Amino acid sequence: VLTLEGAEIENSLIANGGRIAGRVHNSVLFPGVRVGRGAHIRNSVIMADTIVEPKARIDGAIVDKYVRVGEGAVLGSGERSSDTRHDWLGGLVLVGKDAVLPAGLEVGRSSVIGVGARARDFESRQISAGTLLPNHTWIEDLK
Amino acid sequence: VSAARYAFILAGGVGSRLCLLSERRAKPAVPFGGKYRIIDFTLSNCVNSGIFDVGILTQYRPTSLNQHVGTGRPWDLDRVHGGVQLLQPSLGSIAGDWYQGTADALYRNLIHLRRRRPDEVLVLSGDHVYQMDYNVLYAFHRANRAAVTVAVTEVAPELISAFGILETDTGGRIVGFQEKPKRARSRLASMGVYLFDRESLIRWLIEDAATEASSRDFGKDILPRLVARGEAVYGYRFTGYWQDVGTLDSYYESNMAFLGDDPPLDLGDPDWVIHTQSAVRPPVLFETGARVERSMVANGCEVAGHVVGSVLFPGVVVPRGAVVRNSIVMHDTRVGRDAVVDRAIVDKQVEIGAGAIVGDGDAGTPNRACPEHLSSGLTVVGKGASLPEGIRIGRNARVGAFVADAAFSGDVPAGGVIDGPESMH
Repeated sequence: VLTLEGAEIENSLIANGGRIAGRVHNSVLFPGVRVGRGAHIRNSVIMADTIVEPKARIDGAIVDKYVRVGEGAVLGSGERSSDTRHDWLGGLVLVGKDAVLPAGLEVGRSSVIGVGARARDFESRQISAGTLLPNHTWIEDLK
Repeated sequence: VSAARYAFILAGGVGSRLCLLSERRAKPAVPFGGKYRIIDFTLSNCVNSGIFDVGILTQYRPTSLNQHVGTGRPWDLDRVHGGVQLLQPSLGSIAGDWYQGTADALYRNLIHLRRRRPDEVLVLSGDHVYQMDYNVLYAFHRANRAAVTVAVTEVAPELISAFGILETDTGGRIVGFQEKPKRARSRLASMGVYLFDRESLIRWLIEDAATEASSRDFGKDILPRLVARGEAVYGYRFTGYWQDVGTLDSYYESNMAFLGDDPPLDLGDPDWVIHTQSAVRPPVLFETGARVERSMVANGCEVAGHVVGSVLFPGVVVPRGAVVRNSIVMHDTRVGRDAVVDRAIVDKQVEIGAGAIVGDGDAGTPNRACPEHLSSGLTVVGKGASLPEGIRIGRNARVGAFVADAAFSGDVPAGGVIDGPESMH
């Protein structure tokens, strides 16, 4: 784990290849996760080789591998969904593998961003609590 | 299609300027950069350049190196054809004596070229930190129809006395060679990377072995002779990062260089992976109260104290209240509660007692035993040493390997020396 100027890490497990310039609290980071300057990760599990760009904020999320969280994006904002159909999420945000979240995106709690999501999948920069976005396959990108 | 390529890596030198770090291991086996050994860079350069047949010449304290290289698996060198072979001097053969110099080491291993028929033989040092695509060197060598090509890099003027310095003409041909000169017209240093025509190499080694006055060294004997004789000796100019980690100070500085935002080499480059043998360890545990900045912390470490500007190898424990600052701490060393480690190089498996201070006071006095290598204020602690609770170890001090608690009669002043039970000094 390489910790750079501005890093702040507490109560966390961080695997090899990590490169941390932001803050990480109560979280588990798999190998090769990069956390940009001013980013803040709390109460989350971030899987291998995901990149969290500067100033992004992640609170209560499970983020799969190879995800890119854009600059200043927020995962887990506001209150959890009151809809009982979302109870299974326990208020967590799930982000599928290979998703690319655009800069400034804001995702409410109890939401699921499907595998391979791209900027075009987000109609606005505000994803309200309880939103479920569908999966994509990487082959769609080849068209 | 040309024959498979072959490289010799020279890894047998004593490396005395690294003091304690290479007292009990060959310099190429000295830990570097939080998880590597120095030889990993050269070995990785080989396989990343497509060279999968390598002989490593060892002599001085090879056990650590042998264990690290093993069957060569991390480098994909555990092969049916080629792979890695550790070549140690042995009784009862032409190799039946200690290697006298680098050229002698190769001469005694010419047998390994008998059935290998590459056009060229690559000769490398196992103790430099750099990333280099040797294919470019091969292309340069062939384009110039060189008999031998020496990779060269520009060094600072104050460093020329530490290297072999080469002078080239405008076409890259080497016209002058001085081994460790005080003054020189050129600043191009030999990187210890040579590409020889196989036939020329064999001829020259046999010739050198028959030369009475020779010290059997590439830098001291063979290269100057070839240049003086007007052989086709070329210098290939390498402009990337290259670091000779031959001294404690350069070892310390080059480790520290990897802590910034802009490290000299990209250790994470997926196209040029630095492969190494590494044990499976759990991820780093950062506990509540931990503070860590500008540091490299390897797997298996547990941090509850403060770690600033430091390199922690796997399995280092820094408990609450402990501070590790601007230091290099190797595998499985345990820092005691409220202990302070400041500008120190601490080898593997050291126990630092609670409240101890390693690197105390100012750097006034050079080390008593090796003043020429330990005077910049670093404190060095050898492998397996045990430092009692509350002890203060001054700067430029040296605590030998496996020194026990009981060996200390009190604090160790700046420049002090506590020799270990097996110390060679």
